[in-house]
Amino acid sequence: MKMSTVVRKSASLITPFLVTYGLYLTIYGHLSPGGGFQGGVILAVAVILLITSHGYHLVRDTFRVNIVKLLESSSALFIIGVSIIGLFSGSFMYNFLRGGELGDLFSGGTLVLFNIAIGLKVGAAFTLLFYVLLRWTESD
Amino acid sequence: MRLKRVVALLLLMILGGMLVQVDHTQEYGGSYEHYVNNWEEVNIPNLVTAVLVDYRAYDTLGEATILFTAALGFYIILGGDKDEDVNCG
Repeated sequence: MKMSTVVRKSASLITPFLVTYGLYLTIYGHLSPGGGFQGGVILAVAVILLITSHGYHLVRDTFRVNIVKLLESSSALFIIGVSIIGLFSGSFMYNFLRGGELGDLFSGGTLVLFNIAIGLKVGAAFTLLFYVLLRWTESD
Repeated sequence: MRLKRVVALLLLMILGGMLVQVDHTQEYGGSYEHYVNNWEEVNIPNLVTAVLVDYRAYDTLGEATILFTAALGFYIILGGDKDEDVNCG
């Protein structure tokens, strides 16, 4: 269902900040409070907010279901791939990029990659769940 | 019905009493001690992320797998053909 102009304008205004905040929480999850899961949920919430304000069809035509599915599966594969690369330098999930100054963005090594992949995966998975559930109740 | 409520209230009060009497002062021992003493080796300033993504990365991988399985199950059960709307769009 499509809501009123005020709601639509407010949602369009808030959504970019939500996406920025979710990406910040995801990328800087090892330096400040946050992490992949929380950032990913906020990314999904941005899409869900757009669904509730602009209607299911418009959002589904913008964020295609196939792209969401591809994003979810490829980030899951990325996590496992990075873990398997660690196998060559010691053990499964070995942090082979460790190093750097404490407090830098890339000081955590593979932790940053894990966080980003988990954030994308969680966001895509929740968006996909909402898409699949909402197509049975769509009314516009 | 009244007996059920009385029993439920009694159980709640017992549980509340147990929760109030929990001792929070004892904090060393087990994996906690290892994490607190050695988390500089992860080289990041956030202990929670250090535990979640470094020490217990298997746990995070399992969470991701659970989410993937949930999305897959939703898609298989509810995402099939609905009239001519194939594959969700």
